[in-house]
Amino acid sequence: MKNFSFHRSQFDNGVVFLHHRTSAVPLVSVNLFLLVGKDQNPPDRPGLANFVARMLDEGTERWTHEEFSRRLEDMGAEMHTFCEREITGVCLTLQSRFLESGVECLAEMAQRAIFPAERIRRQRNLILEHLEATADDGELLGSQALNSRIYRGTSLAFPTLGTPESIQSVTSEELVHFHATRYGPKGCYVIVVGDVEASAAESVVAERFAGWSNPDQVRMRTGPFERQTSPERVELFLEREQVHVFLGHLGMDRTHPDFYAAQVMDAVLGGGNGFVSRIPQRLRDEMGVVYVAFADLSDSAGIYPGRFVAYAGTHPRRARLAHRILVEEVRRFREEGPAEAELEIAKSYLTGSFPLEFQSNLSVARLLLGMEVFGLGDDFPARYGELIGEVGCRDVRRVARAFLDPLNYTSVFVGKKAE
Amino acid sequence: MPVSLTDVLEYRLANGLTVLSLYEPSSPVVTVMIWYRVGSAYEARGETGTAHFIEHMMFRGTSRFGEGEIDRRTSRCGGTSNAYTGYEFTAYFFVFSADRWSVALEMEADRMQGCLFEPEALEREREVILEEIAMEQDDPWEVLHWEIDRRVFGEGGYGHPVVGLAEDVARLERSRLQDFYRRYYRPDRAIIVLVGGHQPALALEKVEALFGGIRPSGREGVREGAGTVRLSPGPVYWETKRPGHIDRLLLAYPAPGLDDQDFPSFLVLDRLLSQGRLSLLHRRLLEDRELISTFSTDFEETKCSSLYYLHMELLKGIAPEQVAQEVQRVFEGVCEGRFSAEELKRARNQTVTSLLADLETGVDRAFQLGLYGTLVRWERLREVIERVSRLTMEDLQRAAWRFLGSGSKAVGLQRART
Repeated sequence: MKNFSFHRSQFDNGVVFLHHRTSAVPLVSVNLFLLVGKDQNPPDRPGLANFVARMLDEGTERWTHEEFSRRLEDMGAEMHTFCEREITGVCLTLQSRFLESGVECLAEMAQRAIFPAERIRRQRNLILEHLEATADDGELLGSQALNSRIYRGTSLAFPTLGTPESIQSVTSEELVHFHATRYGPKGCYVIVVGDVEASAAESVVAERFAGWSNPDQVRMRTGPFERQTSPERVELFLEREQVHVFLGHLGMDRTHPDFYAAQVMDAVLGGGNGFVSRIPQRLRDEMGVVYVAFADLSDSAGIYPGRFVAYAGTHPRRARLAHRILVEEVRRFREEGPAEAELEIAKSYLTGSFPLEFQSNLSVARLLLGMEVFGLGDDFPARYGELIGEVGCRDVRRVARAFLDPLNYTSVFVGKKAE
Repeated sequence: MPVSLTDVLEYRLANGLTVLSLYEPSSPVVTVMIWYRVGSAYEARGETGTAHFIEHMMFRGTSRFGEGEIDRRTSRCGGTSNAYTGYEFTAYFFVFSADRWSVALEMEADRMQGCLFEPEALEREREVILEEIAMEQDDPWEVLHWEIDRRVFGEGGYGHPVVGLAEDVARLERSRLQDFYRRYYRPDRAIIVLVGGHQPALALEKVEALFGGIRPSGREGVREGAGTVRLSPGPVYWETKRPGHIDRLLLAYPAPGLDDQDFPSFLVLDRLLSQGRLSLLHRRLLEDRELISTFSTDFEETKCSSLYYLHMELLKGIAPEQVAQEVQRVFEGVCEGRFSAEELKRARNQTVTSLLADLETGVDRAFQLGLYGTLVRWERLREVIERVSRLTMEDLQRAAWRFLGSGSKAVGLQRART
């Protein structure tokens, strides 16, 4: 992506504004990202960051929740609020002519949410119901079980939604305090991508965000993270057709110098297009025992170390076999590394498909956020091809030896008992 | 109206193949899709899953591109690919950089007639598809949909899942797959859609060179798939228990096909009912009465009348009858015109945003052109977008009467068994 350009500015209070122009449709994606994820939860309060995120549009100093809805919905806006491991985000899709009102809504949520008691009661009930619903989702349960082992002893070990005990007992004072101390201009990114001019967007964002201050803002760091030194196994019973089989352990963070070698490794071992990579090729194309199988190290790399995860969903009578193949392929890759031909296909895929990340407004916004948070440099889109091109077999082998452990990992089986 | 849709060019080759081209000079990539006018609604009793099975086999090799070669070639050229099967279409897509996109045409031209159905590969793929079906059976909403669709549409048409029934897929014969493939994979039943940085004149030359020599193979045995909604007399009702923690309620009402004059009104009606906290159903069920924890609606885009689904997860201790009654009251209110001009304007705005968002990326635009082109005609997409902004309260009221006020409905209930 040699021709990709964007505008960046930072206000005196620390808020970063990023903009990229697209004009295929008269829409704009207006995004507020804050470095406030579940990593900011106190150890005894899983789910707090997510609870706060869900309360942002439930009433502010100026607007009731109804007035808030009226403003958003009258514009025909689509809003998506989320809380992830490291980030809370509010993403609006709007017709371009409503940019100003959209930014005003984001500013209200970030700076003036007030947490009315009645709305807390409703959200608490809904979160508790959603927690019950997730107990029916085998793949999610498996992923959470893996997190509970990989991130043991840290805030990342718990589900983003929290636990029933924590959600039941969280107080309004805790919600208010979390918002008052974690939300602020530091680690705040307002990213506008779509059919609007940079200067117009910048002045609108500056008007609403440049004056934001919060002297009480703090950012906690969770951890430490330690690689497991022995294998562990978790089996969860669920009466379903398929068993979800996971194998995983601690991974790498995004700023690790071998990140690009890890991307190439993923494309050879368990990702890429179609079923070219080893794990889907073996389990799906050659053996016909799964519909979905993958392995991945780089996708979850972030501020904190991500996870290496290999996955297969299969019939209970094949669950042990699928697990054995996952272990075998991980071991083989660690010992042998990639063949030259595999490496070349993986690199061609990664560089060739990179422009696709610039297709939707929201995906461009996420890419700009990553460039900013991880300091990838303004020329990252232009340099990406080079970064991947430089990766050689030796680099991928080094990553495999450092980050794949076919002995000390956690295995998770969710479903009927493996036959 | 997005400027780009006015630039769509349509060509037809002598063998009946249609080409839709949307040239976007600044795009660094090209989306190449091929749509076949065939899907699960074309399958007969006992042969469900055939269209979807063929979609899988199309990646298993031709005499020119051996097993796995299509995926490998795509990766080597830095592209991505995938495919979908629906009730009335099977679609394949590639996205490549604009300097090498035509490799996609070569692969599509080859597999329009050259799919091998190699027996050993076919057996392995059968197992993969059975795993896909198992995965769908683990989705509580899929199971409810399957049971309701079967009761509403009967056998054939929209009455069975696109992936097929496991018992049919387990015994589909190779010869049956080949027959079906030969019958429906032909140029006169296909549309090629190109969106992005291709040169239209050169692209057309390439299409002509690669596809022009493929002959349509007669019309014997071709059946046009269609759904027949059987919702009366009396409501359809199905109840089951499933291991889990949440009671789920699925309500289904008739919905218009893409070409129905009330289709645009129905899009706006759906937003009026379900989009956002101020929508009529959300306000009644979540805010005022606190009966449910989650709520969503959807309907398939189809040629013929299909179903409008309401998915609801019930709060503990809430009777499904009470929820169904509240929904009924909201529907009656809309039929009687009990909504404001402000609410109509809001719903129209929401619909416009959503239609534009469906056209945001090159893949999105290719998908929408292919979908409308295959099911009705691509210009219908423009008509729908233009019509939405002009809809009146009377238009919505008429659509509400026709589809939600007729008394026809299906009810699926899944009670949790802990």
